[in-house]
Amino acid sequence: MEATEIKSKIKEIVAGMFDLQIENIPDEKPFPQMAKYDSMRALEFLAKLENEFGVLIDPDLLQKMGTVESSTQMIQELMNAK
Amino acid sequence: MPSESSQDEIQVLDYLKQRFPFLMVDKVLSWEKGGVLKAVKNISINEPQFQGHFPGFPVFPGVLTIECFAQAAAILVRLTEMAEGTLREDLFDVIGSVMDFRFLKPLRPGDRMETSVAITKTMGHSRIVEGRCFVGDTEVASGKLLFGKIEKT
Repeated sequence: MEATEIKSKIKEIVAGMFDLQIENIPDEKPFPQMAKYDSMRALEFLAKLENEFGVLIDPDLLQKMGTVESSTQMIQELMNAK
Repeated sequence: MPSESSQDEIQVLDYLKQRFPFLMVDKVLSWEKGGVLKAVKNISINEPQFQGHFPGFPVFPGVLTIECFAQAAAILVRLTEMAEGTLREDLFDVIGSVMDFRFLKPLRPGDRMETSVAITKTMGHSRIVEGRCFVGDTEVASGKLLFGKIEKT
């Protein structure tokens, strides 16, 4: 899957979780700066990514997935490693 | 606290904060540290929801199936935290999200539902618990719950 498609799907997930418009989600804004973001939402984000992309994600990796951009890179790496 | 892989009876009331009429686990059948907890709920025509759900056609509400699952999961989380030494009595378990639930067969009075739950992800005080519910050999529901903590205020 291309990075642009991954990013688009991640933005759809983020938009649904945080009641945002997709066009208003920046690539580089850290998730912790979003309203409603906490450890529960982080874990929910992880579960939704696993469902969407068919990968297993160790919660420790979330530290490196703090933005749409970094999440896109990590998902691409995990998908390539499958 | 029971041993970490034991058939010692786990007293439901010692591990759940819910009380009548909202206890949805009758008995814990087994638990293994880091593994699966199995719990049972016997569905009785005597339960109040059947007065209205539905008159003449009693069906156990899906939301209560989720509650059965959640209470089994809450016992598992509590046992796990006790084993880990991370239990905090000043915090209260709450459901953060109900995910991927499927209801495969209606539950009726007289059914004995067995629920198996396991923690699949942990991050701080938040956990994802996955599980499946059976009546006999028939799977009746499955899904995941996201659990978090709030302060008792």
